[in-house]
Amino acid sequence: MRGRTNGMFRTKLLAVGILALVAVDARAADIAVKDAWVRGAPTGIKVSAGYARIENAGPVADRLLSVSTPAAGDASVHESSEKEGMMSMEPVEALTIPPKGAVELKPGSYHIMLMRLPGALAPGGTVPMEFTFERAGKITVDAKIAPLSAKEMPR
Amino acid sequence: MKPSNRLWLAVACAVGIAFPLAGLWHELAERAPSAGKPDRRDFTLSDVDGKDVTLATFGGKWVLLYFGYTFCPDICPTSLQVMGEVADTLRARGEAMQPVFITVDPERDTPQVLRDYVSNFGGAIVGLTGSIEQIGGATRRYGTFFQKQPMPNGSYMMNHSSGFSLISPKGAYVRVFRSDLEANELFPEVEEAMHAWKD
Repeated sequence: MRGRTNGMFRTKLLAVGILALVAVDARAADIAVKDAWVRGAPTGIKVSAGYARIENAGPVADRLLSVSTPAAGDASVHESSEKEGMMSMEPVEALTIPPKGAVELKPGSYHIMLMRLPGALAPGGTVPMEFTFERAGKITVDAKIAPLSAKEMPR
Repeated sequence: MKPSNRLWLAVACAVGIAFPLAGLWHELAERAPSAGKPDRRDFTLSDVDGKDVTLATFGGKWVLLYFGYTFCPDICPTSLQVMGEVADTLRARGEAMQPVFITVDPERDTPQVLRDYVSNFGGAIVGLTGSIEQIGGATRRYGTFFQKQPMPNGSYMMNHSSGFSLISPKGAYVRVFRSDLEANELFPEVEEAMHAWKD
């Protein structure tokens, strides 16, 4: 009897677990992080930039709240801009991904500023990057490490 | 004056200085190559081995100058890549062109950091640094502005005007090009300016 109760409990727990997974998945599935890449960083350079294409297939907007990676002590979304010939970078508090739309993080525009790199980033490798969205939750992708001089993701 | 008032005054001053300066840079950028007296400008900076460098060091070569800093992960690498590519294309056509990267952040860009950084790009770019005064002098002479921008995490960025300055083999300032061009867009512009120039 006792064993049966335990069994039922376990089944229920499993069901709840699956439901929870489905619920998270249903939201996470709306957001896709594609073509993630970072610039390589030679020894001594403690900064890099990460890029990706974030797609939202869902009917509601989502917001990218934060990014983290073991490849940097500090990661945050920035936007490069040029005004009257002055180049500057400004932190972006939360990047909105429009419904049925996409936001491109690319050189000269939105990017993930990676600071306090613990070591060099050698081109050819990958680094995991965790993107945290307001609705979709956490999505982790492997970002390809491109040469420092790259203008787009290595193919 | 209350501390908050002082802060606002500082912000107002910074804005008041930055905007007219940016406008002036724009005028310099728009200026056509001068037909009259050659516009000679020079600098004294140090290369990654600590040796003094002036324009005479590159004697006889065209020079393409870019001001930036290595703690600039997004824009500067793209600009250096473009500059290196243009220099390589010109060299392949028999034109001697020296691309030069001058840091506006000597605090972080030590000679060693500069050396490692420029070696990641084509074009055999020469990296130059110097004292704040030397770099300030060079930027003023080439109509470039930079400004330290503190970040919330205690770090800082350098806002800077961005452009490639072309200097003739005899050291005359020819003109500045936009730095957001692709190499295949910048190359014909630079080549045209070189061919039109009489030293």
